[in-house]
Amino acid sequence: MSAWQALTRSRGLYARVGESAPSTETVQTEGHPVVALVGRPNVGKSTFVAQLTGRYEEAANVPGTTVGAIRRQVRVGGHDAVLVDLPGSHSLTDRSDGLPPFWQLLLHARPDAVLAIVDAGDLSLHLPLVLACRDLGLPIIVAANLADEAAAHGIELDLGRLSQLLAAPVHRTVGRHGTGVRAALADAIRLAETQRDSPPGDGRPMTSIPPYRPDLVRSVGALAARLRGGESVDELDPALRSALATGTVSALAAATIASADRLEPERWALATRWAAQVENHAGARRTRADRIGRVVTSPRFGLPLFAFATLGALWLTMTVGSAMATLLTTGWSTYVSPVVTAAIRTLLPVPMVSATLLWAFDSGLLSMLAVGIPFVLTFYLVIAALEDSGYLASTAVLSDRIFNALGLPGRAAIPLLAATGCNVPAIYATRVLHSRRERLLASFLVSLTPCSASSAVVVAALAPYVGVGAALGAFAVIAVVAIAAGLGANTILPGRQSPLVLELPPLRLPVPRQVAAKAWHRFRAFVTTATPVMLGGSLVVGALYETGAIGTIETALAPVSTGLLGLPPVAGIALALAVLRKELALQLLLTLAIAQFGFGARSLLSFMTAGQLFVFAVVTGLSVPCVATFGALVGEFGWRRAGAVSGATLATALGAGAIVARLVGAA
Amino acid sequence: MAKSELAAQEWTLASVPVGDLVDVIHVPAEAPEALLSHGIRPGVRLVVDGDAPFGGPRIVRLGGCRVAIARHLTRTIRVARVPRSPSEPCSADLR
Repeated sequence: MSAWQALTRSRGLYARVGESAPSTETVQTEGHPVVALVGRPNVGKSTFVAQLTGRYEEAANVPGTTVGAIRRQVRVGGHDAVLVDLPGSHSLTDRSDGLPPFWQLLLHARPDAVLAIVDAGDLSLHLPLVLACRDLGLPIIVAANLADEAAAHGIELDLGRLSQLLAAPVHRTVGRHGTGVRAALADAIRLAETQRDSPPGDGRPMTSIPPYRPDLVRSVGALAARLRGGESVDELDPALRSALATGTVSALAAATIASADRLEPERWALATRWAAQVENHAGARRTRADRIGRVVTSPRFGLPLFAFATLGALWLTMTVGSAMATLLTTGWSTYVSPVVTAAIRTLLPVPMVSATLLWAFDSGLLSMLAVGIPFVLTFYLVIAALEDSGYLASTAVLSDRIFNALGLPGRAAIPLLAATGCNVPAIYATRVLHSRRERLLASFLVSLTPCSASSAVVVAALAPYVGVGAALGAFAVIAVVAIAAGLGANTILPGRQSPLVLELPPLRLPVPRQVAAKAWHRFRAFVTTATPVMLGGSLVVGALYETGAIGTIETALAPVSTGLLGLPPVAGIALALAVLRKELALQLLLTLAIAQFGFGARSLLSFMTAGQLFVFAVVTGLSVPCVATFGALVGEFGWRRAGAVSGATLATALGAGAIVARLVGAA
Repeated sequence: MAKSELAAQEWTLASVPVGDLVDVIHVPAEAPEALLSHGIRPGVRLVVDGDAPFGGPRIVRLGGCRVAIARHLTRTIRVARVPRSPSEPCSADLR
């Protein structure tokens, strides 16, 4: 066993006060040794995992991409191990909304060793977390990552000296290119295996103790002794107390975590001193990425670039999406639809049953191909490229003031941009926000944002019949209503907005393989979630229509559709059933109108006025979240809050519809 | 302005001009933890890198890392301006 293994296998920082090693070091998990990946946000942990597992979908150049602990089995140099990718963290007590504090995630992963990833160009910022893991007594291996960017900035590290100071091996790595990644992990696995094989409590006296203040070291040691003696310590956090009771953390680790406030300044001071000792700033210089990074957030160029990037992203999505949609729908109608129709009619000769099934397996799948697949896939590719370049964080800074008025930090730009593609991933993307209040506010705005499906309805209902100007006008009304509703929600919801403190990642050229893998991964998740909902929704609509039950619903909805919104009764049904499939709003409206008024109703203007179409478009654009979005809301916030957000969205849509109806003379 | 005058005057991170090199003197206890965890602590040296439009966040450079901080938060952070000396280049400044 090498010197550092002996050291890190020992009893951690407080060895000299007679504490035993933390239980987390010695508790064995079934099977392979466990290596936890630890580091600050955006240091490249997920890229490490991607290099080792070939899964690129979770890596992004956005701080806070990993939102939970992800376990993966890896095999390096003939040795198997479980790799736990933990969310980026600044300290042991750091916590993301909805997640336990970092120490809990780390220790519950039961790591046998920690692979700590630091930025080779910014050690003073990254070493405190490494020191914190070390203070818990966890065996560590350090990867000095982003070494290429550090070198471009004229920074070289004395890795030998750093290894001496930390009493841990240090590897030079470039995660994006895979340089040094396998060697670092192989070392970590070896250390983890050694750790597993050693009996509990085995350890040698610590020879290199970080020079924290002796009184602090003694005080933490004394607290640990009290905890070990079973003494009840009032100031201990309840989560820590229960972790101590269940043996997830040792008395030593608990005392270390409980003393975080006093230990952190010591760690930061030490990190600054050590960084100064090992960093060689020969010819420090600005790189081109630095200069561009400053330009994209500058007042003069930042906003025009932001507008250009946003409009460019939407234009690209629309252009590529439309082309793909035409191709797919033509292919479906020409080659697949006749076969599916013939097959269903032959297999199920009962007309009502076969017609109901065709709603799902012909028109249902066709609408997936017309809206869901082309627009969402293109949008995911564009967003993945923007994420990978590091530009998304800059948009958060540029739009911070705008979102502040809505009670949100600029980070909210990320989910809202995603919402114009599909609301479902946008609800998940609200995890980039820190508090539950911000997440709820952002989710409300996301629900009010027209997704690609409802945007398609707005355009298709207005552009051909009333004009392009009317379609743009409807979007403007939707934007004004959404902003007003956001302002209202910010006033009503108790609590305050957290001020923005955001690290801006360096700008990089997106890696095509990473972009494609990430977009594909999210797209696959979208298709597997949305397809069953679309098929199920279509079956319900089909059954209601084919059995004639739809007439009863029409009567029930008349007070709202006709009384409040001034629309013909069929439009009320189309709006209500759009909960199942948003793009169905228009398709249903036409189908139901044809059924009711005959083939003369092929043009929407034959049974609705221009004003009524405008109201219909605005309500559809704002409308209730679809079933899939509601599902995402329930998953993220629970039934009660999901109901509140959906209810508020519905009330806003109907309220706005009623006002617009009166303004345009439709009601 | 003389070096001693620069240091003696009371500055906040919001009031120093863009491009300045500053030492953080005081971060209020009620400041969000995110500030401390991003390394904005007493004793560190920063470069004021720029401002976002419409009174948006102020961007500072700390070592190789750029951090955007809400403007009203920067008003609570006390700093001392560090006189620039061409003969003593600061790595944080150059990067």
